[in-house]
Amino acid sequence: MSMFNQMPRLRRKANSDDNLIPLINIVFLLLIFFMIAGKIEQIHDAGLTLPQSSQTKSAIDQPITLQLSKDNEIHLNNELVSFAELPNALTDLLLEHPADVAVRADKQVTYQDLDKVLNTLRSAGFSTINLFTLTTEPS
Amino acid sequence: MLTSSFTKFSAVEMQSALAASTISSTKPQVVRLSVNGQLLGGGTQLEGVALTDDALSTLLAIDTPTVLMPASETQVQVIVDALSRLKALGFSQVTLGKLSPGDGAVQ
Repeated sequence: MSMFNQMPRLRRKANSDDNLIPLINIVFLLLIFFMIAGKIEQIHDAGLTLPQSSQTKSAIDQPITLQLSKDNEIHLNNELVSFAELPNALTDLLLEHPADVAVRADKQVTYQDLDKVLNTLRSAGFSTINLFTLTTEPS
Repeated sequence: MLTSSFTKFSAVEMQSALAASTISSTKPQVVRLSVNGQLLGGGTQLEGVALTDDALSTLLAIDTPTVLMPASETQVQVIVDALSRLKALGFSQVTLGKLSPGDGAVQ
């Protein structure tokens, strides 16, 4: 008789736990969604405003990234380098990663300044230069 | 979640002048880009001719290496727009030309 008295109490406890399961499911689904769709932001952007384009080719992260700000500050793989130091720094990196280079230039940089950097990249031996842009929806 | 970013990047790929010269022995065609984004013909025959999309498709060959020569004060946004426009028209081998000590660019 005492056993029958205890059973409803056990069932009520189990029901309260069951109510939490959908909530936990939703939290985990949200977590998985953000892990898959989001990307952890690692890039030090040096205050850049990248140019926009409707280009459909997605950018692939390259081991060598050069950032050029509108004040003509150069960051090579997130380290500030002067224009004079750039050729040597590029040569060292090219030995480690013989790959393409990604250039993130501010949209207000003029071609005069970009050309100096591109010439240095060409002299260092990079065959393909990827100019990074922000993707916009085609109008 | 707070450190996640949904910013989508794309890349405008350019062959460097070094690579373009080794890939093809064909003389590249020249397109000049003004500060305000207007594409102009380069070289001897089309020098200074304003190029609309139709003119680009008919007067130039899309499979020939093309050198885009922006004016020195042209901003990167204008250059990216021009490169995207050429790519959209089918020009596959586009590279940026070197600036000469003057203003115009020389390959």
